[in-house]
Amino acid sequence: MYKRIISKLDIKNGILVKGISLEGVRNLGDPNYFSKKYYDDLIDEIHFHNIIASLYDSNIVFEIVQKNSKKVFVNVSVGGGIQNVEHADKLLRIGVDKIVVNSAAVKNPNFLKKLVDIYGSSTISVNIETAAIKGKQLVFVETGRVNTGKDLFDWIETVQSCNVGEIIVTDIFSEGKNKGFNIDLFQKVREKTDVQLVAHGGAGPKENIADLFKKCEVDAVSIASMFHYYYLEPTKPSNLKGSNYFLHNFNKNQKQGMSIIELKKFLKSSGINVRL
Amino acid sequence: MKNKPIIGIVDTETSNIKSVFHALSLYDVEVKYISSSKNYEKIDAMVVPGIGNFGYVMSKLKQNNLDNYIIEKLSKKMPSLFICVGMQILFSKSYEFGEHKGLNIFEGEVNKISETDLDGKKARNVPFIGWNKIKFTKNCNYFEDLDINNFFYFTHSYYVQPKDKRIISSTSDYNDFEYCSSISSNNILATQFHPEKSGESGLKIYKNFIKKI
Repeated sequence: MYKRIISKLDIKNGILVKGISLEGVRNLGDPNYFSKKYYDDLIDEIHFHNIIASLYDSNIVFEIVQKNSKKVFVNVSVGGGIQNVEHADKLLRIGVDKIVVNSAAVKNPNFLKKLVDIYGSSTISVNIETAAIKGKQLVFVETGRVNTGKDLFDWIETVQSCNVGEIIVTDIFSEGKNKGFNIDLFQKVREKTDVQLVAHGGAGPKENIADLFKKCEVDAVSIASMFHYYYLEPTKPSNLKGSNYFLHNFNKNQKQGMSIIELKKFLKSSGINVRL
Repeated sequence: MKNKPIIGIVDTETSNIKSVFHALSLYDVEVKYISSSKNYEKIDAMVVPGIGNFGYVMSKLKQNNLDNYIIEKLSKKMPSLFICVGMQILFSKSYEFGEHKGLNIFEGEVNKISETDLDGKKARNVPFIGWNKIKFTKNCNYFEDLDINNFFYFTHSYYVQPKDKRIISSTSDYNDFEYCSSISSNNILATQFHPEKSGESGLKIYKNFIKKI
């Protein structure tokens, strides 16, 4: 089957940002600029993640999504701070196609059942942030800040019992480092996961991504930095709040990362089916 | 094609209604939402969008008397596009979390994609979410300018099994599980995939649909 390449766009104050291990974010620019570039270059899905789940930030994300949906005709999911059915309804009404839940599910797994009963399994995705602490693979929430003490594999079982159609597993330690996915972890996660599985955290060397698909049989990968740094344009937007040092000093010759099409071509040549 | 046709999107209260709105709005049409049968707006064509649990969607349609609205428009041969669960509700019944009656426009059942192959071995992950190709099973002018190399975006656990195989216009294959991915008749096109989420290939289907109004 054709594997999906998803781009993950972390949003803070209406700006595309990127951190390392879910921390220390750096401003990269206008999220709508990036999502349109990704669509034109055959991205399979776009995932907007609202890293500050305040009401103010939710409203800014609504604006980004509304603008996006006029030009981008691939599946768009939104996560971060979705606590109730009204919020999910609002998102679907303004151009979103899939809802991603994290903290609210940990607080109350019945919320997942409620969403599935209305929207069906394939519209509801659960993002699980995980890190190994003293030999135990644990579940975190609030963008990696809060340790729930829950065991990852028990939590996957609970989530699946709510008939959720997709699980995105974020490996906190690898996230933002471009050093490669943790193959051992995703092999174990795959064994426990019958529904769609998305690997997130660590996308970097293309050979490792091919390996991940072959050895772990994940259905999709979620990629942020690797694409962001390739498509980044040197800009000096005066309205960007926060840490702009990087953007101001970015030189186009330092281009890093890889284009979506280049990655897809490589995967195809490695025997992995992708849409091209 | 009519000069600037009016297209009504039926609001199931579960769908990705805005994504469908924007795909239609790329062309020279006027788009309206139909949220209850009391909407007396004159429309030239109808779209029933996807996303939603079959039983829940049917209950919402009934609550707003939109089930009868759809049946009435179809009896007048209105050009109509049905997407994903919108396609599934055209059939007699579905087994999505229980057993639910559909609109019974077409005879047939909606069943779950099998996770296992004939030997009982795990063969595929359900739901299926992602891109796939379609194999055309009959000539259908909704598919003009498209060929077997085009990709479409699917997101579903259930699929339709029409009793009358002649209505099937394409099939798709998910790890050796072949199923009906679209049906068509004179005024109806129904797709299991989401044309509004299928990039340029999907937008061609909207274009072809509008051309026939």
